[in-house]
Amino acid sequence: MIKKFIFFVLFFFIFFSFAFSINLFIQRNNIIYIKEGFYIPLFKENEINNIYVKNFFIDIYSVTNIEYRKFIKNNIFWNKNKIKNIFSDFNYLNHWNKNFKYIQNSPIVNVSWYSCNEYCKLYNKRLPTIDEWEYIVYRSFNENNNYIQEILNWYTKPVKPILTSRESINNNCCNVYGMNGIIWEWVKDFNSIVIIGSDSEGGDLEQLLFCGTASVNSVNPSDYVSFMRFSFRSSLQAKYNISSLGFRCVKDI
Amino acid sequence: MLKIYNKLIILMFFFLFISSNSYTNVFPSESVYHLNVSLFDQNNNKIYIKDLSGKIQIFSMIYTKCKTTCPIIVENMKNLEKLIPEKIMKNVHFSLVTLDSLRDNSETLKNFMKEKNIDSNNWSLFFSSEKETLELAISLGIKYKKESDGNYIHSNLILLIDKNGVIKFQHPGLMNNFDDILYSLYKICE
Repeated sequence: MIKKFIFFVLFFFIFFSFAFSINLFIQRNNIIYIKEGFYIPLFKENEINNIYVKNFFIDIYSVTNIEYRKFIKNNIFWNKNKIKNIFSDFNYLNHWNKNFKYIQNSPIVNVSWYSCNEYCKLYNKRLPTIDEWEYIVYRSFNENNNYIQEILNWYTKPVKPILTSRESINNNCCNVYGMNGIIWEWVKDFNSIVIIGSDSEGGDLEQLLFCGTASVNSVNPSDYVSFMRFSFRSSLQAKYNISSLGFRCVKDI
Repeated sequence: MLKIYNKLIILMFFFLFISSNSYTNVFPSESVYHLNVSLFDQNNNKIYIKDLSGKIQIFSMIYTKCKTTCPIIVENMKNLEKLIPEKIMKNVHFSLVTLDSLRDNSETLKNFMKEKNIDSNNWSLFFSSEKETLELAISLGIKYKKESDGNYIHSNLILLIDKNGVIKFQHPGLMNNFDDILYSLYKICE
């Protein structure tokens, strides 16, 4: 009887300490668990509509100016004066001026793909893939049909000179804040969008540049917001710094 | 006697240290040789991307199981090699990096070289990890996407990279008129 009781207590102790440590881990890293699932991407390939996305953790908020400044202090290589031209263009951190206090809690922008990559690496994370990022938006849309309309409303407005604080933006399906509404975000494999074939893409030369593109077609032509995102991403280069483009990291399990 | 030797050795190391330091600073700011990407060649030798410096690189990214455009790209690069005069050819090297980091290794690359009759004196084929392949491709402006059957959609580009790692020309890989890329090559060599 006593043995059983001790066993019971031990079991509870271990279980709760485990749960507590996981909770602490998640809180400290400000990340949230996203459950695996399928999503339908904007562009299908050879009749395959559903794409499987694995379990992963994602940052609840996008990275802020003050967090990024901390990163730079420890990594002089990514300083505005030290950074090499291959890793960024002249717009790098252009919005940092004397009024840092006002923007310290708003999302970081004017960062290049390389610097975001390096930031995430430092915390044992990485940038999300297109599939992971779009999967969350897809699920939000399934739960709330107005979601796309809300994003559209945001797309019609010009970017504010001083961005709002990241906490002020409503969350989506998965308690991830500000994926839409303040800034656009870098993804790891933004160079994987290869869209050719239509007349507007400009004829023969483009077809000479790519291989196997006939198989890529849009699933849902009316999904205008996704088109916007895909065309934006396909126009990027890794060293670009854009005043409305920030990032968040994900963590593998 | 020994002491002098010791001093000499220390001095040598000192100069080596200085020269190696200045060597890494030689590359211009926009050089791709600033990347920290490691590659393995067809003989499984590990090199870093900056080790490609010193020679002008004619560079492309393909994969060996590709049946559509990659053979044409390789064929075009071989044709280009024939057009380059011997004098310039001394300073030119041809490099191919595979996009398929999962299926390609030194063996498949070796077989590919045999199959395509590639001269290993002027050519190197490389493979790398998935992460580093992505970083390299993104830096060179090469788009690619893995399809569910394991094949890749990708840019058909032949790049001309100068001795310091600056991209000087992007040649559409399927075009067999080489006037422009040759013109850029001659211009670098002047």
